[in-house]
Amino acid sequence: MREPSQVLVPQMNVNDDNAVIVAWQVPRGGRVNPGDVIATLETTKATFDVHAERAGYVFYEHEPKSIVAVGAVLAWIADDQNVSLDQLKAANAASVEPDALDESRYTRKALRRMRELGVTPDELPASGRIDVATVERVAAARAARTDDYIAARSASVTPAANPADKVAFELAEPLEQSPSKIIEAMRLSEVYHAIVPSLVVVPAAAERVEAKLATLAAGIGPVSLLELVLHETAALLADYRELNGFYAQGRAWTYREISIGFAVNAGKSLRVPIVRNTGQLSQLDICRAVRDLTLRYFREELSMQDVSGGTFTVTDLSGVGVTSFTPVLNERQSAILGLCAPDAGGQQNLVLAFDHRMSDGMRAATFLGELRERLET
Amino acid sequence: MIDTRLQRAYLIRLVEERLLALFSEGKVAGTTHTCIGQELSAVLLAESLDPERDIIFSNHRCHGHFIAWTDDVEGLIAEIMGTSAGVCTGIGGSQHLCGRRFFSNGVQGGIVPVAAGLAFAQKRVGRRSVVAVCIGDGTLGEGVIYETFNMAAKWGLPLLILLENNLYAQSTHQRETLAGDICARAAAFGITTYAGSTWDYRTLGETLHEAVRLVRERCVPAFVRVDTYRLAAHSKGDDNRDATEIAEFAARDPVNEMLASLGTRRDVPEFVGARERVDRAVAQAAAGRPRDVLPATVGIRPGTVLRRVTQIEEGTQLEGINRALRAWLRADDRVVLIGEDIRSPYGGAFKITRGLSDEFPDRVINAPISEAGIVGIGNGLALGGARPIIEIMFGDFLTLCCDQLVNHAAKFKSMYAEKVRAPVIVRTPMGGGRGYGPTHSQNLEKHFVGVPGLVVVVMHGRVQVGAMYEALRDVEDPVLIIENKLLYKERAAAPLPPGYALSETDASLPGTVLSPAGEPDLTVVAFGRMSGLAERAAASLVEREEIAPELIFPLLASPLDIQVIRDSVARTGRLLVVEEGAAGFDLASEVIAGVATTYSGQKPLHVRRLAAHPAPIPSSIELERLVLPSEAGIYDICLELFDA
Repeated sequence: MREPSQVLVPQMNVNDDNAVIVAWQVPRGGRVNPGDVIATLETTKATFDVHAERAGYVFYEHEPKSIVAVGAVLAWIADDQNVSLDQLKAANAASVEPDALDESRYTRKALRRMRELGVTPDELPASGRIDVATVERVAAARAARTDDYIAARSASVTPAANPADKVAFELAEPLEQSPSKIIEAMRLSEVYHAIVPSLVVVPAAAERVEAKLATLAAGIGPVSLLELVLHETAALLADYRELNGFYAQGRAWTYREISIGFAVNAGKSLRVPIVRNTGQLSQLDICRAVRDLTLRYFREELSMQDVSGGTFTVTDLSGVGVTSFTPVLNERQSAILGLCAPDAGGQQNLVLAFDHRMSDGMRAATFLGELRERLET
Repeated sequence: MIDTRLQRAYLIRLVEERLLALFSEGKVAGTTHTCIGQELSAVLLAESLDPERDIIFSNHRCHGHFIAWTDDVEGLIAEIMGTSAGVCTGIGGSQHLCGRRFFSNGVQGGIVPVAAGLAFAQKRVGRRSVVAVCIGDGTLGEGVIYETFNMAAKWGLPLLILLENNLYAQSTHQRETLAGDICARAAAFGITTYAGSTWDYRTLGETLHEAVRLVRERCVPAFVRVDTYRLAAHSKGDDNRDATEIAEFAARDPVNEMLASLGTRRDVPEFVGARERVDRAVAQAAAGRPRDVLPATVGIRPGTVLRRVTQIEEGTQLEGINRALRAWLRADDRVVLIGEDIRSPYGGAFKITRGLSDEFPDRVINAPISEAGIVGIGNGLALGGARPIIEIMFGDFLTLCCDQLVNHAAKFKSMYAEKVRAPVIVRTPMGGGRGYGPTHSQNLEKHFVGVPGLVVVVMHGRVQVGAMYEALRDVEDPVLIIENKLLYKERAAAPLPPGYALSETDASLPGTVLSPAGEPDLTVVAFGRMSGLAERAAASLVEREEIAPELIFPLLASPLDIQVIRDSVARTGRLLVVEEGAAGFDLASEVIAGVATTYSGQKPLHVRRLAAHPAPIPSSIELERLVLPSEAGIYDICLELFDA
């Protein structure tokens, strides 16, 4: 009989430290063969299946909707059907010590990274291959770990755990959120722990913007407001590098390339596909890219690649009649541009939310002023 | 009226005597080998040849031949006195002259195949030229001349071999060192031989005319033995010969006899003019300046930057070389292939030239087992304007060609002040792995990479052979191409290790760089067949240990394509050099020195090297495996280097 083996939560993209268990595809103690789907997980960006690498009986403790850390144990597969979870965990704990000396499952680079980051073997998964990504994930999770975070992960948050807010919790009840929203909320909490948000608004003349779009349409065919904005923003960002970057490790960073994402939320949950290398594309190329990405959003065919690596974001709420709003910054970005619908007086607001550590109101206003100029003429 | 031949001989003697005086006064450095007493041989040879189309190739004792043929007393004296006005701008000096269809070189024997190659080049273009090569009786000890006699006779080369038999090799009389008959040596190869002497110079003149006529009209070699005597020392003052013997020959010397017969009438206008001319030449040279530019190096330049390669040539390396040779033969009728067993149906020991002699029966030539001779003939062909490509069946046999590569091919361009080019190509397979044993498995390139003037190319598993041969068409220097037996079946377009991308340097003979997806952890430079081992080791390192080496396979080993290696090591700080040749004093030494002497990377520099165990390559295949570098060896050193 073989030793029980662990099934770990896989990393599907570099930004996600957590995943949500959407559904178990095997009952507790159920039999699997290699390749069978054990569970379906979801991150902010996609859902995916976790497959069995060996045959055996599956055991797990988390309920559906639980949040699990990437690299953590999702389940065990054992040859023995009559084994308890506690036995499995105990067997694991026992195996940690000798295994820590067994360097064969660590890549050489992972060992070096462990030394660099001060990660010890007992922090790492007790079986399976240990690579650099695993080590870095563990180190990052450790660094990001706060009491709230741990509490949020836990399936059983109790209001009593936070006496200062006790009244508020007593007046409220848990609101059901989608798994991806839960993770997004956790991410945003982290993002907004650090950033210093700021907002500027500049109105554009809707009529003139319309006229510009009409002129373009006569030349190269129909162009949407979003597509035009992507093109003009990309051109401007070359001169506003602080808005195409982020603040981290005590200093400002700017991206070498300009790849603008646009928020889409049309019934298939919020996604931000990226127009890669926007700064290098013609208006026509941008139109094609936006349409292609949008089509794939509706077909639910957006790949991890399509939604990773954005350097700036545009969120367009003009279609739903919003005349003013506050866009929310994305992780590892210093600014986001919001597009509003025209108000009764024909004013169409351009809204820029930005990290004040990277820029200031005057700079942001100048940016929007230039953008308006470009959209109106 | 004085015989003009004696007048010319006297001019030569005046120059030689003046040179000896200059040496004894310390006004000239180095050495000089004078031909006092032998001048008439030179005068009569020059007289028998056609100055418009014939060529003389002489030896260390060449002043007389040079003056008789070119009349350039001034250029010779300036050369020996080391000034920029000399015929070789002071680089060649006394023994290494070049000018007006004249060459000389200072190594015994090796000039004979070169002259034969020149004769071959002349024959190929149908010029009915004669190439005369001058040797001494001492040169009869050099084996390469017999290789040449054989090929010159077999291939009908218009080569006149003039042997000046002065009885002595330096200070040793031929009775101590020479067996048998001199003329019988050449006659044994079916070469028509003649004999004469400088004492009976009128008859010698007729003999030489007859020999030249034979060579020109029948396009065959001829051999002329000229008995003569050197009245002065071998060089400068080192003479241990019997004074009585010298005096006897001096008394018989026609120039001396002529001078004696003139008695008090020696100041005839011709002689006064000759003396004044030599005085003027010496005065001019004394006022001259040395050349202020260093002698030329090879023209080819290593790369500086990388460029991504998207299109890779299909097919095996063997097919690629065959295709490239065929293409070049088709494009350029100056191209000649010479080697052992290279014609159809055999097509070479490794089948590289398969089928080529069917299409080019006159330009793909089977040679006897005479490696020095055929490389020498290649040198002469190149000097004569052809594009010879020589195959040496096993690289181990390059030792036999060493003199031709080192003292001839590699030197011509620079030594002759860039008046000539000799772009001979010598290609040869090296390497072990097949159990061929100690003399058929070596990698000897390290013995040639340090030769100035010689380009050394080491083919690895990713060479784009077609492009390489295209580039070779423009190379003006001699090139030694090290192939590898086990690479012949390899394909440049084979899949790369997972995640790797291929670039090349911008050298005309570009090095190949395989870069991992992310930042490389270390730099592995692999020569020749080691490229494949390095690739496999890298694939394992990436997969098992997440260690990603950048792999660099230089094609140009000399001059070394070093810049991209420096750039890579600047990022990684870790360098491993792998080669198949014996460890120590090797290519790695040069790579590591080239990196270390300019290293300014952020990380401390760590270097390692891996080469064959420095002992003969065993025939036992198991034992051979232990001696040669292995994939596992590369893997282990990379791990160790990573942790360093």
